[in-house]
Amino acid sequence: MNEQSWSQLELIAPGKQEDMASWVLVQGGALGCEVLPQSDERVLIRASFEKSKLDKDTLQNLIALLEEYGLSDTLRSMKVSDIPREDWLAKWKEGFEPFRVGTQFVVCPIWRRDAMTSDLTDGRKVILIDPGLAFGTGLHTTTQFCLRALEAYKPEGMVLDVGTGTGILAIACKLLNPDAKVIGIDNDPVAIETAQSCLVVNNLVDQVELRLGSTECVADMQFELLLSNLTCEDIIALLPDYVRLLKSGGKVICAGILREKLEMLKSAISRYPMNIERAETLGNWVGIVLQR
Amino acid sequence: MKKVTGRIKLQIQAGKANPAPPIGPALGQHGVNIMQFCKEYNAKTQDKVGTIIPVEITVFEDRSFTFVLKTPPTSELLKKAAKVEKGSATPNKAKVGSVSMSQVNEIALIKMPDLNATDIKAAEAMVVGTAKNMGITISD
Repeated sequence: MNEQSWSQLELIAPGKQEDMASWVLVQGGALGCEVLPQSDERVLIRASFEKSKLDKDTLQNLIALLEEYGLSDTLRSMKVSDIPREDWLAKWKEGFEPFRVGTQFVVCPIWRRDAMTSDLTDGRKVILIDPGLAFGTGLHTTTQFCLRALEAYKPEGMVLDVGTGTGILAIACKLLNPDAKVIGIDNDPVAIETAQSCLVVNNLVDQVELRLGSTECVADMQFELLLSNLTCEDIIALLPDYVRLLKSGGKVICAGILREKLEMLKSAISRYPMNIERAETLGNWVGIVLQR
Repeated sequence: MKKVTGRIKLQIQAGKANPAPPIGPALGQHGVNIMQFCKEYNAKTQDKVGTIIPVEITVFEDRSFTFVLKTPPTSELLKKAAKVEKGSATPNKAKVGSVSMSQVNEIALIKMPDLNATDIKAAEAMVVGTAKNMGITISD
């Protein structure tokens, strides 16, 4: 868990003013709101803020906005408090057990190492994960597609993991080929911190290079393989960079694409010197492998 | 059929879901895989970044979940239609922009599924009321 602290502002509003009240709170600096129905057609709105940003001036501005937007009555119920620091993932972690992916991997949460048996591993490579607040638990279909694709397209030479999250894919690359030079980038400092911890527990410190930032932080390099488990829109935005970053014949393993957005992605790809070498539909999701 | 153990409604920014509050605490108490929700919400709303897309999440006894995206707040749609950065800080005195009745109708049609309105006229009246609260005038 990172060191950030949060505060919350609660108020009760008539149900029909839920949209407006939430909108005003977000305009006034809230990160978002949870809306809890009350017994009398009213709603409790709980707006979250970064603690450092909910200062006296912000609060006064919020009160003024609520008054101006015809929500003065909500002010009587307004309460500000700190959000208790706790591990929100704790309850979910209780159900996270080690599991197999593809033919070569077992993904194991760090707190369930005791559940690892030789029956489960059976010669497979074990990826230990302590996900914290970063993407990449291995449980999602899209991550599993990438892991299986890595088995089919063995990482060789230079590999870049874009949006590395926990570093799960970068770790998988090193386990499949210790000689590959793997770099993980992420523009979220929490992800970089988490990936670093995961490298430690997998005994891969200094084996994977982590950089904070997007593709600009590897602009002077070229790669044989890119990993891109993001969203369809992110992938489209990064396609020009991918063309530059890929060596001729290089590949991109892409996931995080909703099936309904595949045509949009195909249309974008057609404008670049890349072709789709493999596509796999997994429920609502699609994974593809591009070749330059 | 799986038993429902929780319903959570969040008003959050499209494409920007992360495990910080309000999402983390709201979903965490139900044992939901927070990162999975964030990934799926972001994938579905990435093309609407800059807009609030409310979401209703249903959690089942096995901690699996489904979610439904709702329509953006009327204020958000009005702001876009009037091409203004934000509503007026003093809507009763300073007007920040205007929208036409056909834009009001368009917004009412978008909002109909989530509004407690019996017909399109009632929905339009709600939109006009919100516009007035924001300092946005109706031009025709």
